Amino acid sequence: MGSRPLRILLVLAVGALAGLFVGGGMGAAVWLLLTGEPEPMGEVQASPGFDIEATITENYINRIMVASANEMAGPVSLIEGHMDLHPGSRADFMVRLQAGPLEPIVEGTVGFRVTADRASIEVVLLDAWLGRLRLNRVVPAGALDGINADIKQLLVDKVGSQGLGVLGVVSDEDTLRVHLGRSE
Amino acid sequence: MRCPTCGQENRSGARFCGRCGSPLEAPPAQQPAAEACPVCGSPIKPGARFCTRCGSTLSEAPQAAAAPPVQGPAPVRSSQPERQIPEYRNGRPGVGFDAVPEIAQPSTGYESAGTRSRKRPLWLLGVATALLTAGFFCCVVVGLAAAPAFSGVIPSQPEVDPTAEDITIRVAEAYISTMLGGALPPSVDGEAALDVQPGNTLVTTIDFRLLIVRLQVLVNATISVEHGRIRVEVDNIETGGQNLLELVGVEQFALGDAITDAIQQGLEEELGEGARLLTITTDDEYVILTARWE
Repeated sequence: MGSRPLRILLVLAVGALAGLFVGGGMGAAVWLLLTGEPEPMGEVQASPGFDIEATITENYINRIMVASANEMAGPVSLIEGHMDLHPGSRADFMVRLQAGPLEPIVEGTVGFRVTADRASIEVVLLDAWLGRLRLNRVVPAGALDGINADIKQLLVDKVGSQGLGVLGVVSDEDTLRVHLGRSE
Repeated sequence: MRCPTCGQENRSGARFCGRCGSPLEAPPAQQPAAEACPVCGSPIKPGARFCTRCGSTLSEAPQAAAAPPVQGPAPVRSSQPERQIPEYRNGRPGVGFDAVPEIAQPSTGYESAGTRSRKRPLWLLGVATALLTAGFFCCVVVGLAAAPAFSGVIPSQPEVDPTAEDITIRVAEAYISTMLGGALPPSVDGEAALDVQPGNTLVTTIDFRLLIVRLQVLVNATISVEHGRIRVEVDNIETGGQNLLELVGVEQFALGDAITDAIQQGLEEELGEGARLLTITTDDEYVILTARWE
């Protein structure tokens, strides 16, 4: 056997090499864990016979997003952001969060769909990216509960369409249209 | 054991005949030869200094050799060859002890522990290096992947007219008609239906039965915005040219007000609280309201 410093160097080299492989494996595992297909949104619900159509502008959605950012509490807060509506009940979002000294920008896509009980619409997270890291599987399941509660309140309390169910929700480049109708 | 030479019966394990001294069949060398008097061959007890049979003086050597092995930690074994105690014969060959049994060497672990204490840091050093490298490599990969998120800029949004509408609500005439049922006076047993026409015109048709006569009343109204609120104004009420409503105790304009109030209240409920009504228009089927939420 060689001298002790030589053996230490050898152990260090072997350890570093093993660490490189293990780190690479872990990185690949994280990569595979975080990648995946976006949640399917399904077909856009057509609602030909509605009683009320509420057409909400993109400008208003962005305004309530900023307002809700001021009400956020917790370790992560929203500094600024905006939402860009697209056809197919989808919207791309870009928000700047504050988590301690860090202010990362999170981008992604959300979808709008009717809740199972047809009482409201809900926002579902389809994609979220932190740089090149996909965050879908690390975003808590209830992360959008607050937004959905606001939307429900908007439909039930603010619009006042009590007794009506949500028939569908569609969007174009500038507006989100919610169709309400009497349940048969 | 029987001596093959003289036939003397010797004790088991004896290597030489106690009578003639001839060598006996050698017993297995796994145990030292039993103590026996070198003169008469009688068995002697360990530590005996004289033979109990012939009285011969016994040497000290067998006693020392017969002493039980020393217990406890043994000294570190030397590298010299194992020391053999010479066979004690006392003038007669083959009688005595062949060798001192090898003393068991209990393992103290001192040497092996020292060896391990030298090897353990190297082993741990390798694992620690691997873990640190793996963690560092992971952090580098994650950091590089997340780096664009910390250098990006959110594009500024175009200026928006602060007086522009936030929401547009289209209310179907069929839905408004459902609000009118409760607006009819109790004395009028009939049904009301709304027909929305372009030009902010609302035509409400009320069908009711008076005795055996079926009557129809048309309430023509205009809907507009006044000071941020919905205003429905009755233009005229047609009853087929005859004022039959008075027969049932209903004022024409009272009925008109009831209808317009119901429409106004229903539409304002659809706007909700905190909304400032901006415009109101109609087409063939819908009343269209635009509003801005404060």
